[in-house]
Amino acid sequence: MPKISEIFVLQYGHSLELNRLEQSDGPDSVNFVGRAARNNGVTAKVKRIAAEKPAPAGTITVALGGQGGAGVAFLQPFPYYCGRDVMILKARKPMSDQEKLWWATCITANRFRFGFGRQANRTLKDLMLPDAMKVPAWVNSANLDRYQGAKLPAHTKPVLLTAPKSWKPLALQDLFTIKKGQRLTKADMLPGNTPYVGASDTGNGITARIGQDPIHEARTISVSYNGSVAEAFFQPEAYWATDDVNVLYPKGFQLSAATGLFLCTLIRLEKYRFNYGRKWHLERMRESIIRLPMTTHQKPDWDYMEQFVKALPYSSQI
Amino acid sequence: MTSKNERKTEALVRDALRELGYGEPDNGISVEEQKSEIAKVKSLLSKASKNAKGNAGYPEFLVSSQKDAAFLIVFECKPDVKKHESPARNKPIEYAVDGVLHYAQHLAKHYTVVAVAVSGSTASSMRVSTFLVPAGSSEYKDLTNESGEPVRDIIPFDDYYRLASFDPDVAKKRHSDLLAFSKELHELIWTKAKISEEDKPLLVSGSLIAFMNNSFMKTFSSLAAEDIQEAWLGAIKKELSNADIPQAKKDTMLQPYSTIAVHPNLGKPDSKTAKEYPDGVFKEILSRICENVWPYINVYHDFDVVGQFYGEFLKYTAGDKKALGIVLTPRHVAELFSLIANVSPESKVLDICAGTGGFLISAMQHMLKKAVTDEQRQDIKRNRLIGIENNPKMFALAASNMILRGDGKANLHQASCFDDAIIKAVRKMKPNTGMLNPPYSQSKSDAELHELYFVKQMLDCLEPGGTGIAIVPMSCAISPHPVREELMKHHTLDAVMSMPQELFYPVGIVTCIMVWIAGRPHAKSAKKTWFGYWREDGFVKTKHKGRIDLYGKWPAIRDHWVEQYRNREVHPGESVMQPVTTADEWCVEAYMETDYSTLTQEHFEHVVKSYAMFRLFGRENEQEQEAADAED
Repeated sequence: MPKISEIFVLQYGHSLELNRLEQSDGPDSVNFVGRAARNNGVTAKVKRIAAEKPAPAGTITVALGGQGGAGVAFLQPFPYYCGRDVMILKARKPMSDQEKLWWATCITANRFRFGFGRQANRTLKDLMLPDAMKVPAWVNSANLDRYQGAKLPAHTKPVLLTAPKSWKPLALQDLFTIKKGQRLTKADMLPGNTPYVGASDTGNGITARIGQDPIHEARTISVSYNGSVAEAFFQPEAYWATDDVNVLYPKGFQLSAATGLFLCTLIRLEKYRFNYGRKWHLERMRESIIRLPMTTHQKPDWDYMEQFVKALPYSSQI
Repeated sequence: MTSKNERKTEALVRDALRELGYGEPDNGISVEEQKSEIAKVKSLLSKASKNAKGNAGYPEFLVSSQKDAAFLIVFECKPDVKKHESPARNKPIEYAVDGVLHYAQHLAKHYTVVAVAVSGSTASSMRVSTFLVPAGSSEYKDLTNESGEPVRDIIPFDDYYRLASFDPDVAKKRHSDLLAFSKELHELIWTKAKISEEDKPLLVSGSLIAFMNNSFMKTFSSLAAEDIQEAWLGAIKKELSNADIPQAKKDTMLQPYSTIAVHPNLGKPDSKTAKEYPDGVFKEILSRICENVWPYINVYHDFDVVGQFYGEFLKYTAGDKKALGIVLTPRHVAELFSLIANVSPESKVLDICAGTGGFLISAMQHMLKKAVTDEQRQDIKRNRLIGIENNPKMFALAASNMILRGDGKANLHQASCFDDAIIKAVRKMKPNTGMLNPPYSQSKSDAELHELYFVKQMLDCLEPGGTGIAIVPMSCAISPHPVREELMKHHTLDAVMSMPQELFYPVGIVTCIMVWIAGRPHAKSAKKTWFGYWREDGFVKTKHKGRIDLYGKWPAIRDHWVEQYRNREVHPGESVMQPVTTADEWCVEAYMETDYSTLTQEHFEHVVKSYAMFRLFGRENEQEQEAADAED
């Protein structure tokens, strides 16, 4: 079993301090790799500095300390700067990205050894890795380009946003029939695959999968009115909604993913009106007003909304 | 080195200083010429010669005062007005302004310095420029008067002092010094004296009152540890008897202090404590307060020192903030109240839940600022601030707070604000401005103590047409309650502003400010109510200092808010006018138009992207993220 230092050259990172750098999103900005365990270890994007050369793409970073990131390895696909206590690993012989990811996974498997009280500075180089001859065959056949193109819009002809000032106000009750959700405690949840929509602002509002039959139809909008208020999500599948969530059924029109997302954006805009002292309960939601683009016949211009959303990045995936 | 003509300029300055009373005996001011006996000044100037050769150098005049050992005035003189200042202000040998700034910047390491450059050899041709260098800063700025005009004459010491402490940078430094000290003091009291939470601020305020007594101030350090508590209480008693308060109130006020005066840990030290503090902990506490806090009281009258300590001490403990529903009003909110009410020397301000007196003190400052004559000042302090506080300990704090300012004490009452006799007496004084932060949510079962009953009680005390302002939980503006009808039956709801969600951090309560016109039935007034969305006050939460105005955004936001309210402006996303009844919600969120001008394509892109991510990766992605978060 080889040591890490037999496969990689270990080298201390730049040890830059993030608060001394200028954060930037500009085209010339550089990833800053800290001791985080997520987002590939990248904690910020910063302006390039003349005095330091970024580490090259294709190297692996390992955080040596820190609560979360100690011992976690990431393959860096872009040039980057490092914060304190980040080691840079450079392969001794040329290898594919797939193989580098394999080694990163093996190194990360050792993260239990490190943590708050024990840094990896001195011992990292001597960590034992699996035999280089025994890299599983599936490693090199992994497809790293599976998500290429996800960012593309559904169609490429850009559609401009018309001036929201020219849009017309409509009460939610004129657009939707609003129904309540129903509480289901954790103890009563059965294992299964029905989406369970809670008052969450992430994961399309879905907080669990349950075995019960869905109580709401697909292609509706879920809106939380308690907890994390006014999180509106378009639900593509039939689902169960908890009692902190109201469900909007379109009245006399079909909701597509694109028009649904357009509406969700506008519903979320009302968030500021509510807090835990003032909830968006059913009566308030029925009377709430949003503005929508209209056709010349003073009907919501669903076609425009559809086309507008389908020209946005990632809309090929909806 | 000094030329003959420069002597003339010096003589002019000397005469001016004498005329303005700098030389009078017993005023605590000392004027030194071309030297200084103050050790710290000596060391700061030991290498400050203007030729930058590292020799000692001294300005022509150096004025210091016993009042505040951290404040200096320096003068630099040049005979020729042409040598008043160089364009870049970097030729200290030749030019007066350049020279005085040179010295001031050396001294500013420890002192807040007023730098005065004087040129000219006759009184009529004399030119004067005045600058301020706040302590710890190397930046200088023009010293200006209250209306922003630069000072172009030599003025009395007290005026220099007042204008310098008026400066926001100086005030900020002073505040952070006090904050640092209150932490240190808390630590000392906590570890060595074991005083209960609510007695701590009393210990501070009592000590400050005791220091008003000259003989205690001079002798406490030579007293034996076992005698000091008695002397302390005696000094407070004496100062209270000098104060212009009725006997009954003096007794109520003294009561809370007597607990501290018999506290065993503050008396003769036990053998363990004696190793560290042979003279007892109390003496240590007293001398630290004397050194670090007393100057603020003595000098800066615009500062709610006791309130500051109370707030600081509360921060470390659960304290009484939950049990009694007491939440301390943040100071910038007290300031906001005075501006909403637009208090003036004609106002008569009532606070029926006075607490440590924060609203009254803030109102007093604003009223005094607008006062012109001494008579008005006296009138404000004596007749125009009325407070009621139920809790005897809080009352003692509020009263001591007022005594330390030498004012207002006669109209502070220790009683329930629902006591008929007191209310009758208060009504007789005809207050026309009410300010209120009632105790919050004193149990749902006790409906009589609903916050709005306090509001009603305040409004019922005010003269018809007077303004009553209250900060109350959001639920008061939304949930139906019979008292809402009672309020509108007699008074007009003028305005309601939704406040920042975390205003009372670390206490989690969402609040709004209500402004009422007393004694005018709402239906009869038949006017629209103004609603403001005041959710962003620029404050941020910090690790050690709580919620503060870290980026200095507050003054601009405050002025914007007040202007909006006074002119009843209506902007989407900021404010709205709406007629309301008892059945309606009284908050901006219900009526304001959403500001669609801020809606951009990015809003849509964000929604589409997170949906696309969900479609691509489902919930796995989220779960991984959560796991990573938990370990971070």
